[in-house]
Amino acid sequence: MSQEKISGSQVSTVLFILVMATGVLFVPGITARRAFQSAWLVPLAIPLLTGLISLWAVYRLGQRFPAKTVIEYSPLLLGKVLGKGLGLLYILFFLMTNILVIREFSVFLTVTLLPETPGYVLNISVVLLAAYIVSKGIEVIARMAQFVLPLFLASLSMLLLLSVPEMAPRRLLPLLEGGFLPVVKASLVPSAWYGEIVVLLLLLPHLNKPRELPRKGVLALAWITVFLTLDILATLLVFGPYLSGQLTFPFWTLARFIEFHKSFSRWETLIVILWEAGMILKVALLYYAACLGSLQWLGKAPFGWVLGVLGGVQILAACYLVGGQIQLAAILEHVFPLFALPFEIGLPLFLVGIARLRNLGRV
Amino acid sequence: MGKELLKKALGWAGKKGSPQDRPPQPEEKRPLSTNWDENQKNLREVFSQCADAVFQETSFNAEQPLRILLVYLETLTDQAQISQTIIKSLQQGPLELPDEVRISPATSPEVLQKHVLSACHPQTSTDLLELTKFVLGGNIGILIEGSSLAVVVPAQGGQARPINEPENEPNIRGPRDGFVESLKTNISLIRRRLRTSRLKVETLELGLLTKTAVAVCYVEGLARPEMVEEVRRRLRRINVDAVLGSGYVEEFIADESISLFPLILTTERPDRVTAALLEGRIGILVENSPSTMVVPCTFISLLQASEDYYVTAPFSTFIRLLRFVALNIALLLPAVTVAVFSFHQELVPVTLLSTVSNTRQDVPFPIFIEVLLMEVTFELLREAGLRLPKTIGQAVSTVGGLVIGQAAVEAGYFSPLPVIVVALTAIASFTAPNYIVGTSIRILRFFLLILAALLGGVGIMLGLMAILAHLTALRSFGIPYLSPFAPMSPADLKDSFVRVPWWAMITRPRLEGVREPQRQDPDQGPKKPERSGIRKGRRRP
Amino acid sequence: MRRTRRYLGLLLSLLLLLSAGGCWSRKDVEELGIVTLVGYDRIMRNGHEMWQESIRILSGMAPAQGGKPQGLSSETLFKGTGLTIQQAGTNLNLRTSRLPFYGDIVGAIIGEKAAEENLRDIVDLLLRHPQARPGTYILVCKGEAFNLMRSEPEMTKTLSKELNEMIEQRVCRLGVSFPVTLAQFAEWLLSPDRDAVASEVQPVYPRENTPKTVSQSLLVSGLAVFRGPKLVGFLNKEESLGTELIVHSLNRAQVAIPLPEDGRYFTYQVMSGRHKIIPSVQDGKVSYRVEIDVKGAVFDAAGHELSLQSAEHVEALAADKIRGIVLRAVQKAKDFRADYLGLSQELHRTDPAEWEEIQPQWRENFVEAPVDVEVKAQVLSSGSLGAKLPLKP
Repeated sequence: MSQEKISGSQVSTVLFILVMATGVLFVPGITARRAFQSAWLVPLAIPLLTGLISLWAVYRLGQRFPAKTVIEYSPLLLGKVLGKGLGLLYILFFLMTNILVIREFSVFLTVTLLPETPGYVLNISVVLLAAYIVSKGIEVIARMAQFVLPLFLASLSMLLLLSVPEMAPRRLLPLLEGGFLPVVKASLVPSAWYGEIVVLLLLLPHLNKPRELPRKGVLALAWITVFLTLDILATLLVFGPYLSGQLTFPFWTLARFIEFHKSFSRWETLIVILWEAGMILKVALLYYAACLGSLQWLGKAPFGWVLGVLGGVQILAACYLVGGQIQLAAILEHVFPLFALPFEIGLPLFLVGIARLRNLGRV
Repeated sequence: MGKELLKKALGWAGKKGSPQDRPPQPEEKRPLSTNWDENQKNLREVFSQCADAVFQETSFNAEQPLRILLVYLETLTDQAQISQTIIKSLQQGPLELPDEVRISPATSPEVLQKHVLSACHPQTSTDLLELTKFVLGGNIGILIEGSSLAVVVPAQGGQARPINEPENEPNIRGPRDGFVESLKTNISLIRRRLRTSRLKVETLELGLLTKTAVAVCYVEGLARPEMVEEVRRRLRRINVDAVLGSGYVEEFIADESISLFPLILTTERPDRVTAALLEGRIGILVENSPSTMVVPCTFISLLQASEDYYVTAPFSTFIRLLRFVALNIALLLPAVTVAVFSFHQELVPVTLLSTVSNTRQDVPFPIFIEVLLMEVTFELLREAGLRLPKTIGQAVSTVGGLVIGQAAVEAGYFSPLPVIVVALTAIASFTAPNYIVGTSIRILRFFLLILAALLGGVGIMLGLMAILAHLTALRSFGIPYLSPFAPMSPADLKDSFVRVPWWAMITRPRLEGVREPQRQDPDQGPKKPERSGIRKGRRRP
Repeated sequence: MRRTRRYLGLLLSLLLLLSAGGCWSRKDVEELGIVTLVGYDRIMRNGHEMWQESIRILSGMAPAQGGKPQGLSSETLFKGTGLTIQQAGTNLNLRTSRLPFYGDIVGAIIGEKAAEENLRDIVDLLLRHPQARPGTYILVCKGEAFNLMRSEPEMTKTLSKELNEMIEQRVCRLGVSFPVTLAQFAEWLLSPDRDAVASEVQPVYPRENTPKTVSQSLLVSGLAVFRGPKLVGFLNKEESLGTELIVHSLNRAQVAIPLPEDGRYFTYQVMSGRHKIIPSVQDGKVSYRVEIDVKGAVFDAAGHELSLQSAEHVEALAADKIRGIVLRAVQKAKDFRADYLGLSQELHRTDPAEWEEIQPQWRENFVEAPVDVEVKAQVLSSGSLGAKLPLKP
């Protein structure tokens, strides 16, 4: 498992899909609710910065401890007990995030496509599939991401293009009503999603050229920002800020709204394709991170066993811990950022600081 | 454990088949004696009950005539050559010998080899078993009275299929020759295209009883030596009693024990094999099998036909894209139909929805069962049409496809929709240039159909992602199966869904042809003639 | 080997799991009743106010023996009542043998009373419903929507198709109304700075044909005006045209204009129109200027000579007439105290600081603000005749 290597461009692809998979559906609504017509400015500022800081911290740590993951070097930095504790926290973080992602997957599908299907079926299916993908290793995840990316971009661009005739640019006026404060307020949730690139803490040793990370990471963040901005812009321009803010999945509604020559309407299938593929990969990636972390944390443990236990935990937690759509939306909007951001920028920065103070690792 | 169970279920993999129980290979030597009668007796014993073994006694006209026994299998040898060349030479040869040559029992083999039969490139053998092997290989064994050395004259012949156009891979513009059963002919077909000493052909023998010759071909310097070594290693590992076709070998040397997709490309076209060799791939030819294996194999190469390289680049690109679309239709159409009409009716325009709904008012089965039944029927028809003689096969497809479909719809057992869907799927599946990939698609179609019936489009997507995971994890002799897409190597996209003109095919595929990446000089594309005196009489110096 | 095991095991368990549970969301096409139109009403039943939902479901005769299967060709009307819309729907479902499928609704007709009292519930449900589409047209009628749902088509096979064609192809070319989709309607209702309008649908009783083909049909004409979530009134054709000129980029309309010389009317046909609202604030007083730029043609010239000089005259006449229409529409909006024209919205967009101040009483502000209308009309085409058809006297 540890000899597998992924290339720089694969890393950017993986990061892009990691953030976009959830972002494309959830971000327009959440940002429009707070920042109204200025929502499209949101990803350009604080979330991008969060991503960059997180990337920087991860890269610095990777430079000091090449070929080691956070689980392995945190005991070196913080001492055995604290370090192990931190490692465990990170595993739990990835696990919790993944549970939320799994639930997002099933909630979206039960709300939109499969209203009568019980959520547990979808939870179990996606976790089983992800387990199958994880068992094949990070190389397969990266390659799948590379394969899915063109489809993802093509269907996203198609939707954006098709919504052009329905757009009214005046819906964006007045720009920055109420100053920057609404934009800042709306930044919290997207920042937490941008920060998910912290999964690099575990993936870094798999990079074949770790030196490329800053370039490829920034590239990924830039593309994420471009497409997320376009995504928000499209919903704002078609539905206006007030309706966008009320809809749970504005981009999904947008896909249902746009049409091309009357006979080619109902583009929501495209959304399902791009989104579901992305979500499965995202679940697999976070699952992989949790698995890899647990393996390293436990020392010697059979891979299949860890895979199975984590899968079971995720299925159970997704079925019973997280409630329905309303609870999930509340968690995503109010709890998740506060829970995730410390792990995404707080702790990495803290670790960089400790490493610098104690002058540990390679300088 | 699961695999053990599977093995047990499949082929009694327990103790019965283990190598310890195999009868020991008769490896000991049995040298020929100088006693002609004894040799003759032994040899007749070896070939007892072999109706096609011919023992022809003749004599060698020396001062004291020596008795000679010709042993051969009339089924494997060229009768005309034997009677016209060999027997004639044996009878007349001694008369034309130079004077200094003396014929005695001891020298006779040498005389035969060097003078009498020198035109036939004879060899000698001292061992009865070796001689047997030679005879089984289509040679003539010549036992000479008083000599413990047998002369072996190659006289391979017998019935062989002439070189024909391969029926499974027809071509319009390219060469028409196809591999046949004879290994020598097959190698010659490749050699004729690659007149370089860098084309290496290594042979080995597989199968305890069949003694099938297997040839490994590669271009030295293009194929990676470690890959060639890997091919040799995997071939040598095989220890079976019989190899009757390349399929036997294929399943032994593939990377995955069970994969739905072919991990080795098989083709009957020598031009295709040659092209693959030039990309740094390795060809594996098996005696008695026209289908030749090429490794490593990538998924995209299964969607390419050699025709693509002979027609113009834009057309070839169009055809390849069409094939890809057809592949998707063949894989997905039944599943998508079920998903759309049973789960996502909002995707169907209302006029179509109402038409379909109306045609389905009085049919007994839900749409999933209908599609499933029609698919199974179609698979039956296809198999029936394939195995029957061609003329009857066509009748079967006509009767099956048209009559059954029409009758079922008219009688109201089925709605027309699944009939149309299955027919479209069938047409799309026939565009696959590789028969084997067609079969994997056929299996996966049912898999996706079931998923679609359970979870609709979501199920299809789950299934597709599972297939994608399977595909991306596959490797063929170390090369990722989905290259050049995943992992992406942009330079190799020039020969994937698109095909660029030949003058732009400057490099070989990155993963296989890594040793000598450059294929040709760049900038050889057609250039417009330089503008000369035509306009305004201006002339370049 | 381990890989194979895992692969087989996982896929098998996935399949087993899925097949063990059943097919939850599956509903075959033939089980569906395709709903094409819905109507919502508030009615009094036994002293209780109840919801009444009426739907038209596509249905059709099974093809005759040996006949070609046809699409569903007629519609059946169902009506149900209940305390909530959902309950009304359920009660309605009791009678239909099919599962109603709301994915292909052309429009939702809202009865007058429902629009006055409980519009929110309807829009809320339509936006929430997983099958309902944001492109559904919102139509309001006077009286009960159920009465309109009983209409029959005159030209096409189904009422929904006729209504759809009317809305998409005719209404926007006649200048009497314009289509409003659910998304647009909801956006207006949600915006803090403007009110909503929706097309009005009216019954007609065709008498032209003998024997009568249908006793009642419907047409789309005029607009229904909302103040906040409440229906406050309807606009007639001319007021609708004026509204449309301000709200919408219209593409076709006809305006009949009297000639001052002899009082005969000619028709100015609007081919395209553009509008611009310019709010201006002076000393805390808001005023609006509406600039309308229409291009059109005159075919029905009423014997008027269309020469270079007279074209200018005609253009001036048309501009004057249109200005009058628009001014009356603005006055109507002020009478309703509902800013469905989007004037305040424009103020909000261009001058957010000023908007901040007047927001608490923005409707009053709109009513008080003077509105100036400038119209520029152009005649681009006069058909395939010369200046005038010189008939001998």
